[in-house]
Amino acid sequence: MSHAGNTLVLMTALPSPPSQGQDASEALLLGRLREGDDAAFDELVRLAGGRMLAVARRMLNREEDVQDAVQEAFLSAFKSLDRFGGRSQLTTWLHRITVNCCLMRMRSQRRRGGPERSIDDLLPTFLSDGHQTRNTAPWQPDAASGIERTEVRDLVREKIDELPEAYRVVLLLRDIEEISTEETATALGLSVNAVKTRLHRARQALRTLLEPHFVARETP
Amino acid sequence: MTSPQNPPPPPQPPRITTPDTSRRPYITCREVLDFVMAYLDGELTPEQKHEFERHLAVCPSCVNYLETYKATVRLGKQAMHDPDEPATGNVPEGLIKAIREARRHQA
Repeated sequence: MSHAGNTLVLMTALPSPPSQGQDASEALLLGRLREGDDAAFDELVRLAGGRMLAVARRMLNREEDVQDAVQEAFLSAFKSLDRFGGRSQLTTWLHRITVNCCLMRMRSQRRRGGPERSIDDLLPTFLSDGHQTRNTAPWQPDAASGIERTEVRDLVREKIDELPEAYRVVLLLRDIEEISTEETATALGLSVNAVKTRLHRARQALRTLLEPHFVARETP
Repeated sequence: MTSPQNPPPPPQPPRITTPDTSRRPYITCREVLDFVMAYLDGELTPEQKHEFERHLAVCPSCVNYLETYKATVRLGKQAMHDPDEPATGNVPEGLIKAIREARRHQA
């Protein structure tokens, strides 16, 4: 895996957040892993792999990339087991490593499809006196009622995918993977303020893309 | 034994009066929309929050924007964490095998 070395660097940059810590069974498993027990490694893959695949599927489109990213994440984790301090749960630590592996894969890929939309086209516009160019209408209370829930899910995913990449990745890390602003900034090499600005704009852009589908229709 | 003298009262802080904001111009829609996230994250100062909410009180369009912004964040989370798609699905046997073999090469 050519990215394994980089992954380790990023793993150091993304510390495990404090949490409840390990439970007894996890500590036992960790002990077996550190002793090199082959069965323990398979056990960890079965235990944590499903969650890691779900993370990778949220960040990457192709199933092949998803599985490669998860494989990279496990290999990186295996190499640095000694550095896992146990301050967080093993699954939380693996989640962070998976996110990093996906980020590297995203960087190395060219975005498929046509040229990206400019974020400016998706942000609200204002008159010279600071008023909104057009009034914002309310959305239906039960957003997109009449549309099946799975259709809403697919629509929202499609619109997230339409966001310019620099904004989509921040939205994914902050709102979906719930990585802190500081950790996101470290992982992406941005300032904390830049992460906040990009997240706000990403949400505004997504709001613009969703608006036509959710705005309440006027009753005759 | 004499009773101790009462200490002098502490100096009184200057009386703070609420500034009369009724004649102050409202912040603009642009400023409100720029600070929606900071408002929701509780990052505005009390004065900024007051001005933000004073604008909302007279601007239904910005209220709608705030509500639809919150709905956008909620819809995003729901779409990417769909309960119909379990977070802990089965790991394909092929992947388990590939990881096992790659680990042996790594060792």
